[in-house]
Amino acid sequence: MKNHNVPKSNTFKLPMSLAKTLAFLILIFTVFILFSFLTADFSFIKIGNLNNILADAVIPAIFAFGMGIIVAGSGFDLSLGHIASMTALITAYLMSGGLEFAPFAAIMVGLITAAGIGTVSGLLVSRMGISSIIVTLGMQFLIIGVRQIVTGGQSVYIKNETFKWLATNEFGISNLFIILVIIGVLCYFLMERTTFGRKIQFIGSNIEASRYMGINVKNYTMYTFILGAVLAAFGGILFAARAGAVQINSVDSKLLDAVTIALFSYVLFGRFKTLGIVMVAILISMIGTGMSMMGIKTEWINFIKGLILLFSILMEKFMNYNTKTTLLKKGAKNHGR
Amino acid sequence: MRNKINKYLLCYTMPFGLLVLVFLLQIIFYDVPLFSALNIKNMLLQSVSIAMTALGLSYIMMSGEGDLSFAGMFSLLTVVFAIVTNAWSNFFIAIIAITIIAVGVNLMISLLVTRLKFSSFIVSIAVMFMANGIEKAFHQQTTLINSEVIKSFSTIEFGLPLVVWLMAFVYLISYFIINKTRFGFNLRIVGENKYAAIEAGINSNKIKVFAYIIAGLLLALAASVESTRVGAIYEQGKYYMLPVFAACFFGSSMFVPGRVNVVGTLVGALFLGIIDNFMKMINVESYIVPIVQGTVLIVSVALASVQNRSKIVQIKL
Amino acid sequence: MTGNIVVKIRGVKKYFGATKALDGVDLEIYENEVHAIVGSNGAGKSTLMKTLGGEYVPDEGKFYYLDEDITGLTPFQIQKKGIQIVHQVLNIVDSMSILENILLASPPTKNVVLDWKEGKAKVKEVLEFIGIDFDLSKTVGSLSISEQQFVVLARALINKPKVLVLDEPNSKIGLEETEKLFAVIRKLKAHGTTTIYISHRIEEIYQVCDKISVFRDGKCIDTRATKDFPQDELVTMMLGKKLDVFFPKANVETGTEILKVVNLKFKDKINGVSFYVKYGEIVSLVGAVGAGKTEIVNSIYGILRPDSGDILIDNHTVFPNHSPRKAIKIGIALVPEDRATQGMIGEYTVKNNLTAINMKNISKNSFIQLKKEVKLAQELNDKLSVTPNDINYIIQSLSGGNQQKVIIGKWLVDPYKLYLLDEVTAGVDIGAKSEIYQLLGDLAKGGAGVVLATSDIEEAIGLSDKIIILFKGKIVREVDPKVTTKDEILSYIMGAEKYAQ
Repeated sequence: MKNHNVPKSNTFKLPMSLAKTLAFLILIFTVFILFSFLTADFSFIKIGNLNNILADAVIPAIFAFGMGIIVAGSGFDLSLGHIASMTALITAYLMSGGLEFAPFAAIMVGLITAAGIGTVSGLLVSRMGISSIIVTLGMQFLIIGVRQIVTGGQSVYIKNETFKWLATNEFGISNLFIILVIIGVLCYFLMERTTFGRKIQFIGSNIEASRYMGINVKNYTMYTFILGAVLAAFGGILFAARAGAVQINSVDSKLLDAVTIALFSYVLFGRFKTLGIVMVAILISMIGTGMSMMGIKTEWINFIKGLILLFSILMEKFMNYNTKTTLLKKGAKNHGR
Repeated sequence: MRNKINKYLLCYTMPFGLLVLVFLLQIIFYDVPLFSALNIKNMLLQSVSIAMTALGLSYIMMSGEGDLSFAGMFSLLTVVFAIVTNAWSNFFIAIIAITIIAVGVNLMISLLVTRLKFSSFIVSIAVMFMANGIEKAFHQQTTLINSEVIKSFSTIEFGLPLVVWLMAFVYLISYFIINKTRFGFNLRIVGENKYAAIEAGINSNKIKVFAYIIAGLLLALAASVESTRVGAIYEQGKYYMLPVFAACFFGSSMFVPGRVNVVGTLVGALFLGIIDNFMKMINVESYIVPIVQGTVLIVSVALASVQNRSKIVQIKL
Repeated sequence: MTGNIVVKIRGVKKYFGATKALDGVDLEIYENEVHAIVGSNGAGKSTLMKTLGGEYVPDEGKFYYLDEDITGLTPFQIQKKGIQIVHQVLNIVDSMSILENILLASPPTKNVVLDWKEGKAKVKEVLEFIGIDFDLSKTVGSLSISEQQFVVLARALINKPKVLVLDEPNSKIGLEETEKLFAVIRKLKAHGTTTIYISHRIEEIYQVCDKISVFRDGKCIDTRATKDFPQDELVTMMLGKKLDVFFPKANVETGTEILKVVNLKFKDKINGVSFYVKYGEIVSLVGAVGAGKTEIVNSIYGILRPDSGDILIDNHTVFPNHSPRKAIKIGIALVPEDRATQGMIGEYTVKNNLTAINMKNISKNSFIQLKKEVKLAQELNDKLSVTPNDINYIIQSLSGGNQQKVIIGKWLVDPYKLYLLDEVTAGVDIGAKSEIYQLLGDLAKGGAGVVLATSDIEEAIGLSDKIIILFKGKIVREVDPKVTTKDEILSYIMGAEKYAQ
């Protein structure tokens, strides 16, 4: 494999990022047109449906924010779906008959629990040097066990109307979407506009150099897991609000969506980009809705999502082939040691 | 130097420690017949498919890669097995079918990892999800195996059930391959130091592909065994994921310090089987099981990584 | 010297991004000679060997072995031809035994099964040849680095190569073992093997090599028989033109002690080091690879925790709980040794790298003000004349010299009390070098203390007020640059333990 002797003109100018955003918007538009034709009577274009698509994109997007933050720090989290389920269960359970917590309090308890789980995962990864895949895999199982204790396997039905209001259509557009915008803006500022987010991105790119620059890599790595867990928890809560009931494992499968969206966006934009995640989420939601309107079964839709995930990694390899090839090899001192 | 002594001490005393632990459990729970012939037979029977899958994963891990796809693939394969046997009433066709699928998928993964330099973890996660999706699609169809002949297959015994002998057989062969053949030698080098492999002129890509193929064969075997025992397994795949991983990691802290190895994986798989069996025997609530499994995984990896001086491990895409 | 040409290298070029690691190498190695390749850090020696060995493919040029074109062959094929390379970084398999490691590339098999007994005889033969005795069943991970070096050597010799390349073989072994190594090389020569010997250590080269080739800036400058190559000429050629014109002549008033290191110890890398640096003073820590320079500056900066000893900044100890973050807070700056992996965030822009430690200057309440960031970065870029002057350039695409300027640049925003620079001009072109020297002079003029860890003697003499010479973790001597000579320093660096204080 020959190395290239001329650096690809890779100026990270604003236009590049803008160009990618525009390109992606065009992609969304194209897919939209495609599905309009593929579905019977152009039913794809109905307002109700569009609103559905947006609403469907919200929860995966919030999950993807969480996963995206962790991935930005070069970590991974397999337990986000389970954390979300757990939080949804706890919140629902607290509000249910018997305990009658106020929604706000219930949500707070749920989020704090999630933060606690994230802290444990974060500590194991940052202090004990265990791979995040192993830690979060183990955490998945711990959660499966613990949540069984909490609910005894029963589904929990939510009767609290205030809580369920979160998911209703108050202003013509789903409330969920408004919540997404709020959370999105917060994530945007946190990750793309603060020193906090900058440090996390540095850690993800070159942990050694970050250490030399005085960044506390252990703590910041831990923070990514806490944030990821809290955002996943949000996702779970909103899911509960929308569904009105929580089964013990309802949110587990959201992991696939989170991973696909987060990775796809990361690969496309090279870093954590809030807008990117939102756009990819909308695209995936569109594909999912469109396919189901075409009569394709859910299982195959999942299969296709897995395929999209593979495809996005393929894209990453393709796009970064020139810049990342052994450019740093000369500086790399310790081959294997 | 002191660190090195400690490392070796731990990895040789660990298996004895486990044995002691089991004896202790028996003593504490004296009325539970852990060591009865029947119980041991049951325990072994239940551990077979996990032990075989773990062995397959061990090959992949010894080559320096990781894999999670077996979680989704395992249950998918059992479903396919059931469908095929019900349609053709023939055991062998079913085995051949799932072997082709398992090896084919692993082959594809290995090519993506070696040629296109994909991260093995990420690819395997994608495949796991895809397999899950396909499996759900077949959800509707019959999955319990109709044929009594096939079902009875799992009860053939020669002192111990046939499948247990099978497990012993594959482990023996694997021990031989890994430790006594050139392929095994090269495999271990590729996994431990890829630059040493380059210097030794080893074709790492070829080795990895073989490792994946072997893992596929073992996975198919494990799925066949489990299918004849309990029929198809929906969505139980992810519950199998943990003990398999745990077995490999546990094994890596025994016999060969810090490296995944055949005997270690076997001991790990059996130990987890014992714990599992034990928990069933004392009738714990079902929720305790995954908690114990999760804890065992994390503790075993922590033990292994204590030697690593706790550097943060990053997942590079 | 008559005889056949065994290895011929013609016009080999190798680039890594904008860095010209090899810039047209022409070289001939004759049969049966011991041929030294010398040059300073970044001159291209290791890269050439890695390219010869098949690990890298050259962008231009050819390699010939016995008139056969071997350019682009795989490492395995090159080994089969009879060329064996012992790399600087030892690639061994820790968990495997010595026997297995020596036979790594050629494990003996009978049918499909490994048969170590057969291999044992062969291995014993090689070890006898080398003159070392090993318990073959011990794992290589449990050996000392010196022993591991010999294991790798045995591995290279087991297939009786025609050409043996040794890349810095002595950096990991002591004096006795060095003698053993020389004995082996002489034996090999008697048996008809050609040896290529890459090293920093000039005294050793004069002991055992027939020919010397000097490398600089990716090219082979000259090749001569050792007897025709006086040492001082060699050293001058290695280091290039006299550079005093590039060194800022400054008479700076020094102040009180900014840094005091007291009896610092760290494993076997730092063995009781004490020195001090005053405000306004430039002090050089000079030594060969492995002398302990990096460990010392890393300890001062807080990224390495020493075993014992004390470090005082302005007479206050930094311990306990020293860390880079604390170092920055109390006014210590470090430019690390390895640019790519430690000094910069390669995938990010010049702008981001310049502001990496200056975030409080460009942010309000943790919110980054992009306009301020651009302004600050542009100012620095202009001041340092970084080429191309584009703050949105990805830093790893810059040339080594410009990268280093950016890396240093970030430390110029706030005034620091102490600047630590580790091999700051390694792999940097002449132009950038002199700019960096100017910068360092300005820093001292501004009152800061500067510690320059370097293996470049010219640089140490030209820039510093005081030179501290290190050998294997001990201070051998402190010299005054105005009075000393290159040769004197060189002899101390090369291990004149007899001179130890």
